[in-house]
Amino acid sequence: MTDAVSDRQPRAGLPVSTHGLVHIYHAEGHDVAALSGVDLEVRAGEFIGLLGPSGAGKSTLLSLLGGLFRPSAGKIRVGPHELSTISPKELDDLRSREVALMLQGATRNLLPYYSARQNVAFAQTVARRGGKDLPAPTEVLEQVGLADAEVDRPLSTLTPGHLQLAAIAATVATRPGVLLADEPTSQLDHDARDQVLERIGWINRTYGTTVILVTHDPEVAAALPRTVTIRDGRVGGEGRSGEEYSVVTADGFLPLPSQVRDELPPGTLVRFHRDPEDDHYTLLPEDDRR
Amino acid sequence: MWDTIRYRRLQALTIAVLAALVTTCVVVAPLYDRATQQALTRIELEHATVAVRGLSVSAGAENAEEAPPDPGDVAASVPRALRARFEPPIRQQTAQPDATAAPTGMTPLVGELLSRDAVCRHVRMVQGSCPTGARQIAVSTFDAKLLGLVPGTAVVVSGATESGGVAHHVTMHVVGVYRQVRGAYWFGQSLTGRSGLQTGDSSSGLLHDDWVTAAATYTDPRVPVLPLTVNRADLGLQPHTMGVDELLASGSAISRLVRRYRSDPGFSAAAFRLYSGLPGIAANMRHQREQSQVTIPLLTVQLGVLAVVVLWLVLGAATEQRRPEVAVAVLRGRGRSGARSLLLRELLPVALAGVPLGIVAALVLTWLARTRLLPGSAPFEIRLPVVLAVAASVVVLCVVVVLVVLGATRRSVEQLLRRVPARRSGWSVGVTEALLLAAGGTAVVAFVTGGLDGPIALAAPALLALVVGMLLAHATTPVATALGRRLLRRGRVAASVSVLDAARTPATRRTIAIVTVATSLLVFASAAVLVGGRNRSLAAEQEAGASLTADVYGDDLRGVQAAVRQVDPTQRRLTTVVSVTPAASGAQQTIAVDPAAFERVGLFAGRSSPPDLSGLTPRAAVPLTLTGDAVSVTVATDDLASRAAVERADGRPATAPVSLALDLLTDDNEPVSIDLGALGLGTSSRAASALVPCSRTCHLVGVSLGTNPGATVSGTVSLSGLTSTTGGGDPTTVAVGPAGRWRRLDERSKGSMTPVSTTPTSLSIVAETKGSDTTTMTQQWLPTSLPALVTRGRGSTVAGLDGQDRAAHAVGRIARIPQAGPYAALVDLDLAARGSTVDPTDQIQVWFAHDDPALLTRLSRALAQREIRLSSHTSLAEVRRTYDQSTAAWSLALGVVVGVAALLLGLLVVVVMAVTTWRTRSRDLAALRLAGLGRRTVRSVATRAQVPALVLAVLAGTLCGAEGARLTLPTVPLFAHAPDVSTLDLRLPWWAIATVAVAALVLLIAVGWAAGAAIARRADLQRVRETL
Repeated sequence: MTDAVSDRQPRAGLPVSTHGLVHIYHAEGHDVAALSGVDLEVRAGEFIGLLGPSGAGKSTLLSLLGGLFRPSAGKIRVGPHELSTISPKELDDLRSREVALMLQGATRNLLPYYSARQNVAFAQTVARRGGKDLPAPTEVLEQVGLADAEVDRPLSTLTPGHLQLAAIAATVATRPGVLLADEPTSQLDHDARDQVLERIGWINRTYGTTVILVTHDPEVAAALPRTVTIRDGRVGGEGRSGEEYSVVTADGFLPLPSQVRDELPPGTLVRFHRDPEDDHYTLLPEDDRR
Repeated sequence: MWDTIRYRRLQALTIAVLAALVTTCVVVAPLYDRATQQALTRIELEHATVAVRGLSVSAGAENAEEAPPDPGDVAASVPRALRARFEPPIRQQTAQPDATAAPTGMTPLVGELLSRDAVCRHVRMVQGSCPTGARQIAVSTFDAKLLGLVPGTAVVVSGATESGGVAHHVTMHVVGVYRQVRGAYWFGQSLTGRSGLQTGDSSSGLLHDDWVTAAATYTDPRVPVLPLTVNRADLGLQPHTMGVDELLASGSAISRLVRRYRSDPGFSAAAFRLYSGLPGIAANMRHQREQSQVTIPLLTVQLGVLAVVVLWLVLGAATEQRRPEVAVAVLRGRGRSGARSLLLRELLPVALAGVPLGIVAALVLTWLARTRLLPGSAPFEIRLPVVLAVAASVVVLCVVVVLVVLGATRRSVEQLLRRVPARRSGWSVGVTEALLLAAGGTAVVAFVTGGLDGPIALAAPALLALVVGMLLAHATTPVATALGRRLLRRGRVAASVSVLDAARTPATRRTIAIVTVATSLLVFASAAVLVGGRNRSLAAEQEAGASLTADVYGDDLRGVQAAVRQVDPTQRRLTTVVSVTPAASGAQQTIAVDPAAFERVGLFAGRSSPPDLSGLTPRAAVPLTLTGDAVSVTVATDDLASRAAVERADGRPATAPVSLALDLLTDDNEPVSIDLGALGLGTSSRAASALVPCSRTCHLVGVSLGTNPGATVSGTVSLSGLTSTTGGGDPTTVAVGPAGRWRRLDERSKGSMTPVSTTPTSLSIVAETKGSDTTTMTQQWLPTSLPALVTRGRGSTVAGLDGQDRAAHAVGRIARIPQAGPYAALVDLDLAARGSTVDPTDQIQVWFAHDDPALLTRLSRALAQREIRLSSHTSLAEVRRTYDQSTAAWSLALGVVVGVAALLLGLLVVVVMAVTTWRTRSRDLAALRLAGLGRRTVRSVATRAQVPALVLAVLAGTLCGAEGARLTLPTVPLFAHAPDVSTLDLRLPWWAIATVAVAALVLLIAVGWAAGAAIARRADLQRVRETL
């Protein structure tokens, strides 16, 4: 494995933002709101993690960012592109050059009959055809940490960790501006998990690629500079350098941290008190007559 | 591309094989069709005589004084293009001059004088030499023997009578005696067989065989123009250079030429004539070609439809398996078009790789057919229709692949990425399926109601099965789900999981649909082959009449019967049959048989047991026989009176003489009347005697009273003491009584003769005649009316053995009489022969219970001892072969291949569904093991999963195939030409159908079981985690 960067000009990442993002799944007989107004700003080159319980809407948000489907309402902007109104052709073009989505499960990102090297080459085909200057597949694979011996072997003979590295390589083969990764460390042992996380971080640092990563793993989340917690289809909080924050939404809502919600059940009346001296806000339940 | 093929090599092989099958179905049709046509052409031409398959053109003179066109010019009148298909013409000149030969004095001789190219190489000279110069002739050995024409004899030949009534003569010389060497050269002409016969007009003299002469005779200036000169050119066909196209073209060209000879004055004046059987053969060829163009597509189109549907489903399963790969392509920015090209690059070459395989398979099948099935060594040909068929198969394959790929890549990425595709929980039908159902259903309904024919009608059985299969497949999910849940509630875990597993997987629905169609096609093809074979057998049995029949020359019925008795005393293996066919078209035919033996030997097509023929032979009447050369009898009268028709001159009534005669039938069935002299009127008694031709045996069949026309006779006449003697030896008493042995005559026009007898040796007859000159009372043994089984009509008369109508009465009806035409009567030969001789036009036959050449040889010898010859013999196998050697039969034979291919397709589908779903299913089974089910139970779940679906599909397919056969078989040509007597039996062979269906079910279950077991073996716990 080497951290040597190609002499090609590294590309800067793309900013990603959502405003009032709503997505409703139409199931048999009833509708399910997966996202209920997500506002999110991700700066170019930022590395953030999406956290939240199962069913909170993380993967839906990631899929919307990847253009897998259109939102029911709201706006999604990736760099200069507005995904909610983008044409299929532009979307294909965006996927071939700018936005890379890494699905959960390494093999879902790979063509099973190709080797790792062939998969990377396959991923680069359209971008190369469009004139994009890309590193050789072996170079990409080397950068993600796959040894030469592994790159031409059938995928079925690779370990889960190596498969995940191959999947990363195929995903970032086009040097995208945004890398969207859905639980890239699930089903991996600690060493493999750390290796995968380290390589994604390296890509982020080296190429400035904006990385949005969905994870359930608290250890992974702790290692990320910024985390966004999705809860009940909204942004429920943010973590920055290990510190947990609640985020005021565009319509003025303030989701409570989970430990607070246990103490303040739904229906509790609260009021905010601002201490002008130390510039603090105090949350006072109705029966607290301090 | 190779990576993808290597990764799923079994799947690729399956797709290629299916594509090959589609190609084979499309390509084999024109190849096989062509091969059958060529085989038929070869057979027809080989079986035709030289004259029938050749071309004979002749021309006469425009008037008596002119010579007809030169034989070379006659040949040249045939267009060059047509002539090129024949051997060089054999030129011939014939004339029919009157001749007078010295040895026979003034007796004129009439016959043909013939010159023919290279004739000397085709006659063997037994005396003298072959004529080489003008006015030299060679005569036949018969002429030499019968007419005394030997080498050196001078013959004066007269020329044609000129306009002035003058005829010139020329003398010719016999230089040799020939014997004709039979062969193709002669175009069926026989030079002999007429020598010494009287001409029709007795004044013309004797006929002679053809006299052979040299061509120079006809050009010699000393030879006048001979009467009735006809110049001719015979063009022999080269059968092995003529295929079906050349035959059809030649047939048309010859027909055109015939019309031209008729209409063009240049030809009609010289009476150009053309004879060839080729137009008829070509017409038959066209007819049979039209038939094959019904049956071959009927079978191959259905198999092709099945193969295309299977290919469609297999490709559907293959693209379903590739959903994640399509999603990857889309996510990598390739879009739908990129995803399409990804799939097309993998699937299209694989499918197209099947095309050469299919072509090779079609060629091999056709080669097998040409060398093993079809006679006549049909040539190997690849013609435009084959090329078009290959192109069509390529188009079909491309369309199927493209449509399937388009369907697969039309989904959104979200749909592509779902781990488990959306399942239909209840009854729902996709657009494609709905279209198929609608189209198939409409076609089937239209066909059933008679509103559809043509190519779509040919696919009716397959469409019916397709509709039923798809409906069943869609009904499976809700029904199986409900059943599985019920089983689960009852605690039958393994069974319920099997059923639920089957309900949730699309493979089950596909298997049901395809196996239904495959079984239907298998059953339909089997039924078509078996019904066709059975009908050909029935028609052959009806036409042959027996396993072997031998025709006998002549009319010696007794001799034939004696020979038959000598060879087969019990008549269990042989029986004599006489066929009387009146000359009038459509007249009733009579088949006279020995009923008991005929029941054993005759083949009664379509009957499980022979009909009861006992009604043809009434209660046995004892014959009255006498043997000797003279008879004597005492004749007495009692109150016998007669009254003449004309009164005497004095006005008193006049009497008329009354005589008595005995009516005998000789051993040769010749009727003889023995006059016993005049009877005394009043009361008298006298002895009478007469010579009789009964040295062997005679039957006394009647007693006749004779008188003058118009006279009446009344009274009693008695016969007693009838004896016969041979050579003056001891008399033998002939018992003429009692009265019951005689048949009372009571007819309004003739009067009555009533037998009255008190003793066996005497017979008294009370007569009361009414003006007939002869009134006969017959013996009971001689039938007055023949009992007959008739095919139709009242049967009041039948043609007797002597060709005359005889009174008959129908004792029943019979659908068909073996070997007889549609309008026929079956009578007892013994009865029919009593009092009747066999007419020379009757055909005496000997029928054999078995095709036994040794017995035929023995019969031939026995007949030869009686100077009787067999003219020909025909076996059932030979007749059957003529039915089998038709495009109708060969086309149906393709059903065997189609049936086997359909079954293989069904098996293939079971395998393919296992191959394409094994990962998912083994993971599901592994999950069941995780849930606590034991290995054995999981195996049981896996192996049983397909059984209910297969049973259901085979059952439905069997019913669809049978119904399809019932609907379609009436439109399938079973014969080249419908037999005169229809033995058509389109009943379905249910036992065979059931056997085929059970065999198919066993095979399908075995394969499904094996596939399930293989999947269960892979269902280890690690499989749960597997994602690749």
